[in-house]
Amino acid sequence: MDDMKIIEHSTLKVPYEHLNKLYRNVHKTIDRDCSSINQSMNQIDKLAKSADLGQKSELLASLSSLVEKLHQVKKRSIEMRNQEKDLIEILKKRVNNLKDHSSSDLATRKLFFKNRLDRILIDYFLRNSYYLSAESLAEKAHLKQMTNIDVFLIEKEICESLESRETQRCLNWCIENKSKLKKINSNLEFTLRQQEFIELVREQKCLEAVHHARKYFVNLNPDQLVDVQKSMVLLAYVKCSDSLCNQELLSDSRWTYLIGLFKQENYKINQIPEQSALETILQSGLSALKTPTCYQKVTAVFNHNCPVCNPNFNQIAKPLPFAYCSNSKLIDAYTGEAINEHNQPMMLPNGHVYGYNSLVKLMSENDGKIRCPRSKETFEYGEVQKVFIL
Amino acid sequence: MDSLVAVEKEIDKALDLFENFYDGVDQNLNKAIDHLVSIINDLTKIESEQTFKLSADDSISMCKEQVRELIKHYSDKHKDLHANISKIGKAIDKNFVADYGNMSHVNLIDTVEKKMHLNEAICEHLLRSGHLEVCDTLVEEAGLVKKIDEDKKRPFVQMNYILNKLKEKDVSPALDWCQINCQELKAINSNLEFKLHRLRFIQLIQQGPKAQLEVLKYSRNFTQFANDCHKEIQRLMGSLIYLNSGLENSPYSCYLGAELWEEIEEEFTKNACKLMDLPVECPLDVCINTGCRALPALVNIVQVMQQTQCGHILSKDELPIEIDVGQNYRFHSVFSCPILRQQTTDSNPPMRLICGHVISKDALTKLNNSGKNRIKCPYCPMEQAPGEAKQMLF
Repeated sequence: MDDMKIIEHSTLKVPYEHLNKLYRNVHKTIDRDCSSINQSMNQIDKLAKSADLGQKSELLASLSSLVEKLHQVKKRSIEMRNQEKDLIEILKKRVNNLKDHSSSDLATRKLFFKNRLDRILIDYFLRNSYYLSAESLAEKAHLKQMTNIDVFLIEKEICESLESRETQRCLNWCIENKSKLKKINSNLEFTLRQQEFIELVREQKCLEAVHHARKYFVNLNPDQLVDVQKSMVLLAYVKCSDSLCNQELLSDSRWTYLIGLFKQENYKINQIPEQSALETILQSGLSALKTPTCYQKVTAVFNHNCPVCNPNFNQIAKPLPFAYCSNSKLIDAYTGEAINEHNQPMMLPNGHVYGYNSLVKLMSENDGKIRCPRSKETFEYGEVQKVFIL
Repeated sequence: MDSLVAVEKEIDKALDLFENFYDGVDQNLNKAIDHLVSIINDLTKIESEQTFKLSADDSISMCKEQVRELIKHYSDKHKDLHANISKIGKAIDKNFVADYGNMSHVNLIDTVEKKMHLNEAICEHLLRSGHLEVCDTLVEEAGLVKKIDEDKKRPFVQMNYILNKLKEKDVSPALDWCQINCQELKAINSNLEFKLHRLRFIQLIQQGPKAQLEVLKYSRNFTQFANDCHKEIQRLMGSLIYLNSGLENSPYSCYLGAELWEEIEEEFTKNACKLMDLPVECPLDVCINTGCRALPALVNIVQVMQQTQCGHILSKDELPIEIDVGQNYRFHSVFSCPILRQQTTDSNPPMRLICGHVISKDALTKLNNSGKNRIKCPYCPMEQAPGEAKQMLF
């Protein structure tokens, strides 16, 4: 299993889902066209069977209109052909782009990894609503085709409408994706209707609210029924904010919850993973680099090349597990060189350990005496003791 | 790679079948239209009642058959194509791992503060890779205006300017920078300036014999490096022999390679970062590279551990398996006590016994269990008092 298999699933699955959706719509159109042609044909057939010269013009007119219809069907079929072809081509282009991952040319591979990081960043930006940054980076790095920006732009519109307390757009989206939402047992439409009900009650339009409830709170499962009962209680209060237990239903956090729920369902039906690739990869990377030294107070060795010692990542990596090390791996705190059988570890009287090569270097810089880089004390070579690491 | 090949196979198959399908549809539609038009033409010409009735009946029933065939083909064949489309989806699911193999356990970025830290790290990456406008947009959208100000950006702006010029094979801004920072570069033993002069020298030589005076004048720049790089200077001056005939067919053709330019960009970045006290490689890059390396092994483990139900690997104190990050990414010493097989920490530091062997403090305490105040080294016959062991700092 290589990293590409794990990271790039949604890169290919999302355009595949688009293709699927388009296919279904195309098929609906084809069925419609076919039945309409069938209808016309049957009509003509009937006319022909009972025809006499008097009805000649009628017959000819029906035949002409059928020809017209066929022309239109032809035009539509060319359109649909191009649409379906385009989507398959997009898929193919992405597959080709991913091939660079295992290219034999180092420069191509490097460019692929650079682009991959940019794609991961664009995905992170989109998920956090930094739409302008995402578009800007996609343009600069010429990656627009490899990203799923269009899915997120639709999401942006609906989120904005939800933020301005408007439910219609989201409801339209629910209706469009009804079958898929049903497959995942989504509660989104119900929650939207519930919110509309609450808003009506908030504005004291109680009769409208009851009509609304009658219309939309049908076919409820047990959980939904409980929710509905809770909201119905609101009708009983003259001024909504009277009771504490209604605070939760009336609070603005419900809208935030709705936006979150919508995003979640959107990701599910588009086959976009819930957690961003950036976070997943960072979790693994930070964990693999995290050593106790990065978090110690006494024996901390701040290596500013270490990402985990970087103040930003240091906070982020706190809850992650440490890297597992079965055998000791030592590096010299002065030069960063590996300490091993070619560069044996030596301990100064103050307890600090350096590789033999570092000691040689330190002695050449300081007249044959060793000045500990960390504690600034000076020692003679004779005071150094050898250390055996197994 | 084979995962991609498998998916591509299905895609190509689908493309072919779609092509054939729509070609067929086009053909059928054209035939039907032509036929109908000819029927219309024929019927229009007929005047007699009887011929009309016969003709109409005849041609329309033939046409009906044709249209029926057309409709059937259009609808049924398109339905068949669905199988091929879903094969693509199945190939993707089979060859790729969905949802990162359940690696995501907790929300890594769960507080506003952490998000800000991550956004800062991303900004640093964007600055380093030269996407200054994207960084500005992100600063605005993410509200980082206070954290990333002009001071932080300035060194990167300059660095990117010099790098861009190097990409255009213009070494003068880089040389200016070297001269300004001459002392510091000497302190880190950098030969960047020499390499830049070398590249310029080769550029001049490539201009041919008309530039020979300029070439000679320029070679004076090497005098300051006479001690450190004299062998290399000798080689460079030797290339003057080929001033007329060009370097391509000479033993000095290696100086014409593009790798020299790539190398100089890397060298400059390294030196600039060292001088500015910045990490050589962008921390975000290091994390992502390591993460991508670690993911396959970790996903494997998660799949195996799912059956044993002992909690997600990311909720533990330590990863269950060792990840080889490569020597380049080893930034800290890790000492693993050979007896207790644990990493040493602040509270459990490594201790050196008199004989020179090293064990962790906990292991030392355990050895002293019998309370006799004499312990024997686990690896050699040397005995000592526990207090004689010395704490070490790697």
